[in-house]
Amino acid sequence: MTPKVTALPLSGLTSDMGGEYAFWRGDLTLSGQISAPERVVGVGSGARTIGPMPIEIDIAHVARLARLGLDDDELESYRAQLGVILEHAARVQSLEVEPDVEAVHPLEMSNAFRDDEPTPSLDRFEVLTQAPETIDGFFVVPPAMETE
Amino acid sequence: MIAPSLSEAGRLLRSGETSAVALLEAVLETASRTEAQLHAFLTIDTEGAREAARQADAAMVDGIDRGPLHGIPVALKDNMCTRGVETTAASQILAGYVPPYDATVVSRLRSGGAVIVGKTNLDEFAMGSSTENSAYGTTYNPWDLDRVPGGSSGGSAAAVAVGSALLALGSDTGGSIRQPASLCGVVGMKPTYGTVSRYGLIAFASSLDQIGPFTRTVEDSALALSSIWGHDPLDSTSYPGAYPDPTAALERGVDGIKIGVVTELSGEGFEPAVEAATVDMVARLEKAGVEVIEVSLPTFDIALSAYYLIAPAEASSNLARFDGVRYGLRVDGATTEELMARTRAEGFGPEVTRRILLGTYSLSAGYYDAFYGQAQRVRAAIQEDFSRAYGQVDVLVSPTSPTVAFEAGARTADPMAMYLSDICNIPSNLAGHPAISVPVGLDEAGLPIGFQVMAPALGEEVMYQVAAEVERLAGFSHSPSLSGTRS
Repeated sequence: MTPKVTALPLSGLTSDMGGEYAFWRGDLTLSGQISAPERVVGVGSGARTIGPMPIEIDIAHVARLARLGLDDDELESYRAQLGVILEHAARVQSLEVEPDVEAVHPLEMSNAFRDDEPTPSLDRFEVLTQAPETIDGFFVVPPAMETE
Repeated sequence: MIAPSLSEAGRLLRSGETSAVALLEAVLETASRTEAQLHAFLTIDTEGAREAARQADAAMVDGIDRGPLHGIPVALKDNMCTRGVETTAASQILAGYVPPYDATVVSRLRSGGAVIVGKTNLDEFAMGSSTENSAYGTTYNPWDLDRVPGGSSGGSAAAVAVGSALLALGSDTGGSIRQPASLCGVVGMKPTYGTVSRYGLIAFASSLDQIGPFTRTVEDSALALSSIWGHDPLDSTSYPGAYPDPTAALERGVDGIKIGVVTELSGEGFEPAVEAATVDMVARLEKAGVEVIEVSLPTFDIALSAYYLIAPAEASSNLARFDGVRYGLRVDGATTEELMARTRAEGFGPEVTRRILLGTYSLSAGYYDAFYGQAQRVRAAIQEDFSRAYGQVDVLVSPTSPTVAFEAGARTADPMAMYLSDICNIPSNLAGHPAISVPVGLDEAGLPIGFQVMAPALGEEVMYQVAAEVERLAGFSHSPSLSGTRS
């Protein structure tokens, strides 16, 4: 079967998303209701409404940040795929949420501290046996900075 | 021979009717008979397992009983570090990596007398829903060899389904234990976040990852969980408080329990046979004494969207360590940056590359708040939705997967179709709650269907209570046929 794609136009994400939506790819369809999408971001009096986020992907820049040496064909292919995924992911922008609330550990834990007591750690030379190249207990890499 | 359950094997061991060595040899024989078709394992440590089995038997003779896992053959997803045994996360970038330490769950298995058979296949770095993203070849579904076992812990699910292990551990970041359990007709469970140590689990998304058991029965699952969980100072997110007893309520029945049927996890996209099996089980539970309430959790509709921002963001950070310097693959370059970029381009497969790019993008300047920041706020809203629901009911139920096992290759070209496989599972990961999949029947083609029971944080006791009743009512006793055109 030919995959059929109906994705929300991004320009409509904050103004048109109340009501029914549908999204389907291949043999799976999902549909449902999302409440009207006034989106306020920020804290207290600094709260602001931001407009729909256009999905512009400078894929070469992203690949550089991620240290992934991809060729032009690969970059273009990933750019297209990311576009489809991000259109779906951008639906998070439809939900009206408290601006300063973020998810927490389900057991409401915060920091974990141990006693400040020295304990044995892994053996340095055993750990370094897994490195591609070492010398005298150090990792070996080519020059990290350009020289004059 | 169908492998006995873990609890049955334990009884036979203690009565002297079998030994750890005999159990291991039976499991190895099953593996040698099925592996050519299934490819559930990446490594089978025959010698290490035989030595552990001999020691388990010797201890038993000396009157030392290390508990429910003593002498039990166990398989581990290959993203858990095993000292001295290659651990690859099914990635080329970790080919040949031999960890100098054991993950905490592995230490606990060893001290509990378990016999570690080997390391199972997975989607590379646990990213996928079919085990087709493994750099070392796919695993196939033992119920139909033309189909996928689900993923990412597909090797662990398939191994338990055929009996090449009595217990297998997997990891569940967005359904990676429950969905393959459902597709392979076994019990798969994701514990409350923070209850099973992640020390030595190769990290995918640290705020979501959780190790859990695959077993043939619900009782086995509860026994396995009680053996592997507990506070670990080596994991800063590990829960230091009191833990429930997963086995306490297995025989209690469900009279007076309230279950919520999640309305968002039904309808379009769900196969009729899956829906019918779910409706049928809910009706049977009602007859058995539960009160059934329809519950709506509207944020479930955007949980998948939030997940595909949060999980890749964390992955892009966690996977930065694979750089050709510290371990695994190195592809040389003139500068360190070139070495890293070449190593990572060659070492990571397409799905991992896609998620690293996605996560890097959603964390990058200018997009952070609209994508990652908003996804975290949605995550909090999902936690609130769950809290409201658990004000009314004890557990929530749904299908585990919207479909039965799909054909190999059917979704590999379409990432979004693959991602939708986990639509029923992801909310529990985002909230950090426990959930279990129990097989309840077969569709017309003979493929297993799973039923999911979700519970609030540390709600394992009531979750297992309901799961045990689901198992009794379903009476699922089928075995995989190892059929299909690849057989």
